[in-house]
Amino acid sequence: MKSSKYQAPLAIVLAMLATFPAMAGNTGVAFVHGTGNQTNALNDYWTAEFVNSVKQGLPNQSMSIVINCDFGQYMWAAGAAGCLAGQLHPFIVNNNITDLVVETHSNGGNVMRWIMSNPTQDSRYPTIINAIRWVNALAPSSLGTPLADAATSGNVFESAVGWLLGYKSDAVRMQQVSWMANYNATWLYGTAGRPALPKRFFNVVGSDVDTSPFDGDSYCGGYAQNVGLEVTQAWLNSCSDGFLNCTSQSGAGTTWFVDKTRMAGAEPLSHNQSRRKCFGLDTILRNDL
Amino acid sequence: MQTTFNPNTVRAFLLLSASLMTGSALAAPRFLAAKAGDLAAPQVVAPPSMQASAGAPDQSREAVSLSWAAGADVAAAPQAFVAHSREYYTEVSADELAAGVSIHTTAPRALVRIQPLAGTGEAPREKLAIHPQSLVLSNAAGKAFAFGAGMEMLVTADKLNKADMPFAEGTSAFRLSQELGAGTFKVTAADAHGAARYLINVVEPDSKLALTMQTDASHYLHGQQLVVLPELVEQGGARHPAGKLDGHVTSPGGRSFPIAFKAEPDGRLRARLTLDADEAPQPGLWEVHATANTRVRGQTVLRSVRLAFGVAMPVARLDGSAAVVNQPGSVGVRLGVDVGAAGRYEARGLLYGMVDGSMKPLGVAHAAQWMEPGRQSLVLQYSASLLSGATGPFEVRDLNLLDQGRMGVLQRQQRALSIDERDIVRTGAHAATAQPQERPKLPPVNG
Repeated sequence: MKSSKYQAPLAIVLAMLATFPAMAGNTGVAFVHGTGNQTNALNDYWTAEFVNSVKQGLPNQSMSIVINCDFGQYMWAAGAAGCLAGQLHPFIVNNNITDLVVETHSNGGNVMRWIMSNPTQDSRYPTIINAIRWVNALAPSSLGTPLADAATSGNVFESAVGWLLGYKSDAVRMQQVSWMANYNATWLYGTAGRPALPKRFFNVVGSDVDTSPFDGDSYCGGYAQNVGLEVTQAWLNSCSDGFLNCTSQSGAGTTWFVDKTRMAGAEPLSHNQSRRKCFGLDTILRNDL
Repeated sequence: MQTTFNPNTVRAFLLLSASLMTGSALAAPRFLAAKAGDLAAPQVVAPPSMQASAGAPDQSREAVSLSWAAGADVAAAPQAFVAHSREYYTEVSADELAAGVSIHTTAPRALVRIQPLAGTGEAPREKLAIHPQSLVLSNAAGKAFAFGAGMEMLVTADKLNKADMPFAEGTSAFRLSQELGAGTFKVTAADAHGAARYLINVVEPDSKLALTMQTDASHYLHGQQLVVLPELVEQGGARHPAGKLDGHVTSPGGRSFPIAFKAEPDGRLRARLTLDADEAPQPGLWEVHATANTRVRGQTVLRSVRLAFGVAMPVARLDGSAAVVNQPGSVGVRLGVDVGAAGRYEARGLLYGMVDGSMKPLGVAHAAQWMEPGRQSLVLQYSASLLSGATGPFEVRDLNLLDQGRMGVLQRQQRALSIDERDIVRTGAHAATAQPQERPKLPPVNG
């Protein structure tokens, strides 16, 4: 893995490739979006400038994939984990990817963690897990969010079985705090006291929302979106990205870094900014490939 | 996971063949006695309702297995989740809002969310939105605050929508100003009228009073008894009577079961319910809901809380038989499974072994396959590399039997199997495992 970054003489590298053909695979990167049904996540969720900047870190920039699935469904559903596997598996096999870095955002981290925690649910999952170098989970909702509880409560009051008909979002229902606690205690790995995931899961934690109209940084990722997230902070702890408490973002795997310790100008990353080309996040992810 | 064969594997196979001939490769590990907190069914059932899955992907018929290192930080027993609520919900009509609705707070800066409810036959929900500027707040002394006075962070529905949260259309919110303090306030929407219904959610993040709730297990089987333990606690540890406490349980299929909270001999309030899981499998969890209405130091305290738990129909169970199956590159543990209804079943277990004189977690193994009714088996295969630094006795802990299709936890035993060192054939070959990598050095801070 990452052999190109070692200063080995070319002859030795070629000899290794000849001796160990299984190691001669490619490095790739996959972008896994968060809650919602995406058909053009490149433009609608990540933005091309972010994805194109990150994948500059690849030896071959064609070895990248932007996932488009319905993560409005439960994480284990055919349209969620099944769809993710349906796009990752052929990408890995057809491109001989043996060193895959997965960049997830928000609930995308849960869907990825579902695959890594339930490798026997689908015969494609072990191949995917085996190819993964690690997962960079940008603001993952590993312990759920009180906002999901608040949003779901209204819906339940309106119709006890409305969600059965697909009303609103199963994924929001799933990200309620007590629901994620239940899944983390049984079906999912990587949270405190639970066995480790088969591959490392590194969190990037957003700790605040900056919405001063006089600060240009507030406009990165969309000013109106950031204002909305400042409002929802009222439901959350003092350390949050406007959608998730920091405790949820760091609730599974290992915290790679908290925004202000790495971002340019020590800026925080709101939940909207942690999937955008803001404050050097793209550069850090690029250098990680 | 693919097993990689090499010359060592061939030698291992020959060694294994020899050991098979001596009869040492198929040994009998010892099932340990179940303990409090373990989940097990006395027998399997297969009602007609269990002939469907709950939305899991593709229901593969292939046998799949994988093992990997467990990591060092595994807790001895699962931690019970305790739900905390510093909020409550109430439902009112537009006419009631016009006359004034009381809200009760125990700490300054309570957040109030007002959401029009659907299904009333009234105007579209976005037309029913109430702008916080149009509300009049009155405190207990009768002093009125209008046009946003007494409020901070007024939020209209369009702002909430910008947060990408699926709050219902027409939802608005505001926070009571710090200087208003806590107590009972009246919220009046003079322009509202009619039978349209509104949900009011009062959230008190700074309150010292929380309604907590936990269940005596995270997962149950059909016919078992759910035990719910609520408590009104104050920061610092004081307990208060929960007052009038109502509750109900909902199933994933949408059924609702009332529960009654009663003081038991130890003085604690509990609600008990025998669980009926005989419904068509639906994705999702069961929930217990409770609301409390009490007074603490003369102030009304209202709280609503909700907590999720799992309930499964015992369509399969481990039958209590087990054997060690030594294979080239791995140590297998064959588990007998009594299957009542066809489905895709999974066993997963944590292998512990002696390392430096104490039992340490070594590896996780999962195995799943489609099974028809009858006597079946699953084999947990632990790569030999996971055992390389450890000696016996070994134990399989946190052993689970899962129903992948219907998303059910069918059996769980914290300490399940004991395996003697003599039952393990160490061949030197290693089956492939998923190997985590360490992260390289990070770029400079604020680079």
